[in-house]
Order: sequence, then C-alpha cells, then structure tokens
Amino acid sequence: MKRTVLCSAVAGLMLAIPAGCGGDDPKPNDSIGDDGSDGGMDTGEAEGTTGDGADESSDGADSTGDPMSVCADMVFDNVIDEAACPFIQGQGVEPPEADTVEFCRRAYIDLLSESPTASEYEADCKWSTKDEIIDDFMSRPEYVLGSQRMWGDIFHYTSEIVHYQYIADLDALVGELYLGNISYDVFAELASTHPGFLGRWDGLDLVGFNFLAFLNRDANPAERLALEPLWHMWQERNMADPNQSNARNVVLDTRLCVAPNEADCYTDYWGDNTVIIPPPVPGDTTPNGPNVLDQSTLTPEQWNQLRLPGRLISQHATFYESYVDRALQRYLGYDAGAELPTARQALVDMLEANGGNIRAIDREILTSILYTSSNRFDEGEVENPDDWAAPYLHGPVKQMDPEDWLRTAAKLTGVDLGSCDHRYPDVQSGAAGFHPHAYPTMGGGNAPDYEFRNRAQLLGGCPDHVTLFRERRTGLIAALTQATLTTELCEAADLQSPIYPLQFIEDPSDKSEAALTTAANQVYSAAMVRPIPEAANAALMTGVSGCRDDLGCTPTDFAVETCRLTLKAADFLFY
Amino acid sequence: MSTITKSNRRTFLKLGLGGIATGAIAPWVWTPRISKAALDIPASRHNHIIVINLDGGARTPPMFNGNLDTRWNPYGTQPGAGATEWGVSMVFDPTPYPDTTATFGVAMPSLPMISNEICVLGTLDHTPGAAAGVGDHNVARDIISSGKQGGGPGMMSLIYARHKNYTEGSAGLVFPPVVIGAGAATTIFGIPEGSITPVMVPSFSEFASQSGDDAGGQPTWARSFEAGLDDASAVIRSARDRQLIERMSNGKQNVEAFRNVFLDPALRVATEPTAGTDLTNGDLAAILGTSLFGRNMALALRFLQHGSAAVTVGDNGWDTHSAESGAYMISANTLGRVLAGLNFALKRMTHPEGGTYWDHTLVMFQSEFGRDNLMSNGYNSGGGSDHTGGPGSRYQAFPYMGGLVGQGGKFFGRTDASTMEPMPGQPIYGTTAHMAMALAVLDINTEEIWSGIEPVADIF
Repeated sequence: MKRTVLCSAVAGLMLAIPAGCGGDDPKPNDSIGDDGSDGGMDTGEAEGTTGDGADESSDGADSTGDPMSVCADMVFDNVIDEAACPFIQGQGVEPPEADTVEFCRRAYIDLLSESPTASEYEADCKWSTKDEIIDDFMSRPEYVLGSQRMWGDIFHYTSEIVHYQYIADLDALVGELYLGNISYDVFAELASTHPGFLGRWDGLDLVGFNFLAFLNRDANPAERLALEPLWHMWQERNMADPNQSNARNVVLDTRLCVAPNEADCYTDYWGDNTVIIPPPVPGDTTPNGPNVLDQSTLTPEQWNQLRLPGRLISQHATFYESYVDRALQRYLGYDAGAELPTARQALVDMLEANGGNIRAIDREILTSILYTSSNRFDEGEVENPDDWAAPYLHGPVKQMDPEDWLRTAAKLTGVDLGSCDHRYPDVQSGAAGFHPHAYPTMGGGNAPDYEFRNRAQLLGGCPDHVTLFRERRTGLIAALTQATLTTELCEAADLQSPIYPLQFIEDPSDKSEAALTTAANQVYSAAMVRPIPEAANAALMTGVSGCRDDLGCTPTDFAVETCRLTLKAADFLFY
Repeated sequence: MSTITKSNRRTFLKLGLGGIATGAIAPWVWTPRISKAALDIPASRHNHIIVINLDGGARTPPMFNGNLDTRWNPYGTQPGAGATEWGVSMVFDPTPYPDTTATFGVAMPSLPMISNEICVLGTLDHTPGAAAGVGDHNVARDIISSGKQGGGPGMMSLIYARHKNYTEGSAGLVFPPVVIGAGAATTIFGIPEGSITPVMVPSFSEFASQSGDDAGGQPTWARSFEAGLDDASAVIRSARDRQLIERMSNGKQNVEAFRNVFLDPALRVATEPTAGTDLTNGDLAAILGTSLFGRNMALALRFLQHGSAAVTVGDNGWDTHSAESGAYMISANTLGRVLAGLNFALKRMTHPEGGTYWDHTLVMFQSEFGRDNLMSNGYNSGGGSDHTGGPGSRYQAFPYMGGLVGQGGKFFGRTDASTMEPMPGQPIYGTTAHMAMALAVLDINTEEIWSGIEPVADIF
C-alpha cells in the first residue's frame, strides 16, 4: 500500500482532529448550528440558471450531530464524496450544485483550455448531465493537450537546451498517459531517464527535478548527493541537427564508472542499487570514443537497467500522493490534499487499485462534490483568515490561465492570434531552417509567428521555462496589461465577432437606454453565456447613463468599452 | 504625476489602496520596542532601498569576500580603492567605463575603483545557530522573500502594507514598491499580503508592451460599470475567494490612479532616449549599460523617482551547476557595471527631500545561497558549483552601498580562507536581520513582522 503519512492513512478515523494532518480545520460557518440552518451560505440557485442545479440544499446534519452517522446513511458513487462527507454534509453543510452554465464554463476552461461561447454552450453543455460533459471533454484532444502543457511546465521544455526531437518524444509520452495507454508508473519509469529530461538537467539537478516532477518536492541536499549515482553516467555531446544548430545528443559515458570509480554509480539510499553499463571496449578512454554511447543505440536490456531510478521513484511512498495532490490543485485551485487528507488517501487507494490509471483519478475529481458544487458562498465579512470557511464547503474559484484567457478573448473578438507551442518556447533553427513546431508561420516558410506567445507572456503564459515560469498574475501590472490587450482586441471586433452587439447592425446610432442595455447584455452574454446578473444592474445603469450623458460616447464606443470591461471582469477572469 | 497629500487620506484610500490601510486604522496602538541596533539605523520614510536579487543562488564570496583559497575563489583578488578591507575579486574588470565620457566628461569608475564606498558583510546566514545551512531552493526562497522559514508575504508586500507613505499618504509621490524580474526567486518578493500586492514588472521591455499607447485609459462611466460588476461578483464569494477578486480590483483601480506615471515617456527606458528627469534614458544606458539587468535597473530608478519606497530587481543566471566560469565572468561584470552605475547615477539624481538619491538610498543584495561542493580547483566535477548547505553556500557575502552606509570599504564577518567557516569571534548575520535592517531604513517597525529580530546596524 502506498500509504503516505500516518494521519493521511487514518484520517477517516480522526474526525475530531483533522487539522493535525496539515489541513485547516474543516470549519463550517460559525453560525451553522445543530438545527442545520445554512448559516448564511447561499444555498439558492444562481441567477439566470437553467434549472439544472435546482436547489437541493437540505440540512445534512444528523440530529445527533455525529458526522459519521450522517454519512453512513448516504450512498456514494464517488470516493471523494464519501471521504469528504464527514467534513461537509457531516457538518451540516449541503453545498448547492453549480448550475449548468457555471459548471460548463468551469469544465470547458479546465479541460478544453478556453471559455465557451454561447453557441458552444448550447452544443456541448446545455442538454448534458455533468458526468456526460466531463466524459465528453475528457475524450477530446484538448484535454490531452492541456495536460501536456502542464507537464511541459513541470519538465521545463525548451529546445534552447534540449534536442527538439527528444522533447517531442517526451511530450508524446505524456499524451499516451492522458490517453490512458500507459500507467502512471510506466510513465515515471520512462520519463525519469528520457533524453528529453536528461538533456535538460545535469548532475544533482537530475535528482532534484525528478523529485519535483514525481514526488512534488525538491530533493534535499543529502538526497541529491545520495541518489545522483543513479544518473551518473548520463551526459550530452554537441551534435548539430539540420534544424537545430545547437542540438546536443544525450549519451551514456560508460567510462565514468569503471574501476576504481564503481562507487560513483552506486547508492544505498533506497536500498543497494547500482546503475553501471560496462564499456563495450574496455580500456578505451577516448572522450568521444566507442565507450560513449548515444542513447539511441542502447539495447532494451541496457535501458532496463538504466531506468532503475524511475522504477525506484514510482515505488516511493508519496509517488501516487504527489499525482493526486497535483490533480486536486489543478482542478480545485487549492491544496485539497492537505485540506482533506481522507479524500487524498481515497484517491491514492484508487490509483493503486486501478494500476496507475490517472484518467480515472481526474474523472473522479471532476465529478466529485468538490468540483460540481457552486462557487457562490455568502460568507460575510471575516477579517481573520484563520476564521475563513474551508474551501471545500463550496465549489472552486480559479483564475483563468493567461493563455486560456487570451485565446478566449481572441475567439470572442474574432481576432486570430494563433497559439503557442508549449514544447518549444523559442523555436531553434539550423542549416535546413527551423525545426518543426505548432506556431503559426509567417513569411512563406516555417518561421514561427510569436504574436500570441508574446502577448501571453505579458500575463505569465507561454513561459520560456528558463527565466519565465507560468503565473497567474494579479495586481496593477496584470490589470494594465489586460487593459492594453483588450483595447486592441475589442477595437478589432467586427460584425462577425461573437461579441459584437447585434442590434447595432440595424441602427448604429441608437443610443437609447434600451439599446445600450441590450447591447451590454449581449456583449456580456457572448462571454459569460448569460446576461449581466441582476445584482449588477446598478452598475449596468451607471454605464448606460454615463454613456448617454457623454456626448463623445457613441453606441459603438459603448460596445467596445463594454467588451473591454467584460473581458477584464472578475466574472470572466475567475471561474 | 500622482501626488497624494496627507490631508486627502480618504481619497488616497479610495485609490484601490484601501486594503493597505489596515495598519493605520487598526483599533490598537502599536508600541514599538526600540532596540539599540534600531537606534543606530538612519531611518526615514523618505529613504529608499534597491534590492538586487541574484536569482538561483549566486556565488558571492569570490566577488566580495575574495581573500579565500582557490577552492572558494578561483578568480583571485585585486587591490581595491583606498583602505578597502574586503577582498575585491579579480573577476571584476578594473577599467573605467568610457561610455559616460561624452556626456559627463568623465569615464565612470569601475567597481574596484569605488570599493571603498561599499561595505561587505561576509557571513550572511539564513539559519544562524542551526547545525546546517540551507541548500534547497524552495526553503531558501521562503526565507529570502519573507524573512521566515516556511514563507509568507514577500518583502515588497510587507513594505507596501506598512510604509507610512502608503498607510498615511505623503506630500510627495507614492508609487507602490516594485518587483522587476520574472525569475522564480524574484517574483516571490511580491507574494501578496492579503489583497496587497506590489507592482510586478517582468522586464523593461515587457513593461512597455504592457502599458501600450494609452496606459489602460477608460472612460469614467466604463470604470464605474466595471467596478460595479466586480463588486457584485465579489460579494457572492467566500472570504478566501473574495480576496482574489479584491486583489484584482485593487490592481484595476491603481491602473487609473497611476496612469500618469505609466504615460511618462521616461519609463520607456530603451525607446525614449531623451526622456527623463536629471538623467535621460540615454544617460542611464551609458551608465548602467544596455543589458537586460542594466535596462531593468534603469526602469527601477524611474520608479524611485515616481515615489517607490523600494524596488527589487532580479538578475538571472547564477544557478551554475556546470560550465560556470564563462557565465560567471559575464554575470559578475554585468553586476559590477550595474553597481558602479548606481553609484554614479544616484549621485546625479536630485531627491525631492533635498540632496541626491544617493543620500537617501540603500543598495543591498539578496540571493538564495552561495555555492559549494567544490574541488580544489574551485569547481565541481562539471566545472560548476552546487548548493548543499555547507559553509560555501551557507555564508554569503553581500555588499551594501549608498549614502546611508557609513562603513564604506569595511568588512564584517570574516571567514576562514580554507574552510569558509566564520573566523572565531566574527559576527554572523541572519538573513532576516539583514531584511529587518532594510525595512528599518524605511522607518518601518520590524518587531511586529519579525519579533525578536534585531536589525543589522553594522554597516551604518
């Protein structure tokens, strides 16, 4: 059993002291009493709902107040729901389900990497159950691509340092994982010594970044030193490629561990382990001679031995836990593994039982109460963060990834910015031109067009994996950047753009209150799939009357500004 | 220009900065414990700090504590200026920079030529008294950004939340603290404190693109419309999620509040060579160079002129596990030029409170750790250096410069030339105490942040 930490394994039995497991106290709202009142939580249906998420709130609190007995009476088809029950329904909380619009946006962005238009919502979500939506989206290539992008960040892809073909191959391996064709254990075994990984790091960093990738933490100095022998023989050699003049091939230098240096390839840190491939020509010490083997020439038997570090990592106690934690963070936006260690352990157990099928883990999270609940939660003013309600008492709120935001904004305004290629932040070239890539091209050749990449980088997207790493930026400069980008995009929107207000086609001079109100709702709906919430009516009327009073404001100006502010609005940016 | 007066505090708070007023309106009175060290620190709300973060863990002893054997300093030393006590590395080019001759009639002195204006502490340690130092990036980053093991709000956020110019308003300019750089060990200086987050700029060139031609201009009615939408969105969220939205809303409001700053052509340091007060951007290019680091530092100086109390500027490329020597020479000399340039530029920039920015500014360093795992030739088996928490990586040597530094040329915290362990009787300086010193210079009481930590005062 890949038990992780003691309290994780037994958390289900420790309801009275969950904070000791590293998570916050699963505090229900203070005002939730034994009578099961909702304590101020918004349990009603969101405005403009389609009826899918009818109010199902009911007090789940058992009259005895015993969380276990509340949950014992419930039937679960999701291991997270069952594991989390004592901390949610068992505390008298029944989070309202997200309505279809809220859930569709969430799943669309998380799994397809962009927000849906109104027509996409109609086609992909409106008539489907949540399970059907998840299954549909997970069957699409965008889900695999989004996962590849995440692992590209973890592996720090860049052909500035690594041969582009190695990266392409490692990226394809990630694809196989998310297509369900290989297990997570096999993936780790192959990736830990994949040339796309070996070419990126040297020495002690090979240990450190393997830990970061598969154990979710850096190796400490002692671990780095102790485990480096497992990767000791790997090196690189300059080997220009027709499409990458700076290419370096990954090689195995078998000279490094011959007598008297065998100890350099031996470690007793995770048991007695040696990774030594004997030199084919004993005694030959030529720097690039026959005892330095290109990785492509290694035999299956040699690879079997060289992949020992990946196998050791996959047997580590926290190997599955680290995947689970990362997946929970990816879809929920908070450290649910620490907040709800019982849910984490349930997923670890599931991963162990299904042989490392991570698609099943992703689906379990995406269909759990933690993901399908509404993120509306009226908590009132609570000054002290220590007193905040636990995040699992409502659905997740996350900030859109910069690339997803930019791609959606471009889609809505009808501007073709292209995309970036997560494998190659900066495409390299050689005598035969640029290496293959997925950027738009320009100039009639294969030269990459970085228009999208350059904009996304301003917000923390399309990272170069050397000095820039993926961020979701907030604050002044992020707001400034969004203001600048939306100016450009919204001014470019034309009659064919999904976000263009249709009634202006009929009468571009109509500045009546009704026309502007309708226009604003159309713009907002194009981005958010539903009209401006009733609670923001005062804001809407401020805008409408402000434009009407402003002699310089034309209906077109109003539409453009409404486009800008909608794409920057919290409703759009946070989902 | 954004000028906010004390008498207009309500307006000030409305400028998206409401969250930072917590300290000013808290229903209790903080009674500061004034230590002897704090009394020795030239504290003023009109001071500034420039934090240079060497991202990745820089090998600082060979640069600033050069009197070590080859294992720890394979570059050798050279004579410094005057009675310089610290070992000036041979890695620094001693030749003055001729680029400034045309404009200023003098070649800018090199770093070795101004070494007697720089004070060095040779035993900066993240964990004084602990059995071992820190060799892990993440652990070190927590400490250098927040001053706390386990991390917390970043140094620039701590300043933004507490500096009197931001909590009380100022008769002068009050642009927020800024973090310039995109490195993983630099952006953490802006980890928010609640909804308070400093200005985060990836680089000078990206900043120009981010500002666009109009610096986020928006009609008043559109701003009100958007703010109302955001408020409606925030009110239906949990306190935790609401904070995210409020952070974004604060940013939007500050875009408008500081729009005049963003429209200042002097902030386009690479493309507006004639713009700028006291020094043009062309002058700054001649002084600081046109490297990414030099340009970013030029932008940092512009933010100081717009009222930033503190800026952090990151410099990448110091995590040299292999093939170090070539990269190190380049990085060290780029750094040397920026330091020499700051010395030259700050003395030529008029401060609104009188004197020059040199008189009111402390230039200081931060970095994750130094380097070790070295053989007798000065490098590891890959020609680089690592960080295991041993004395070579544990005890960093940081320079301090500026008119506030009264101990120019002095060296405190000597280490053994062969072991890099502190010499008997020599002081060891905690990283947190060094950060507390920086905040104390800005007249921020650090006791409420780092209780029991005495700010370093030896450099004054």
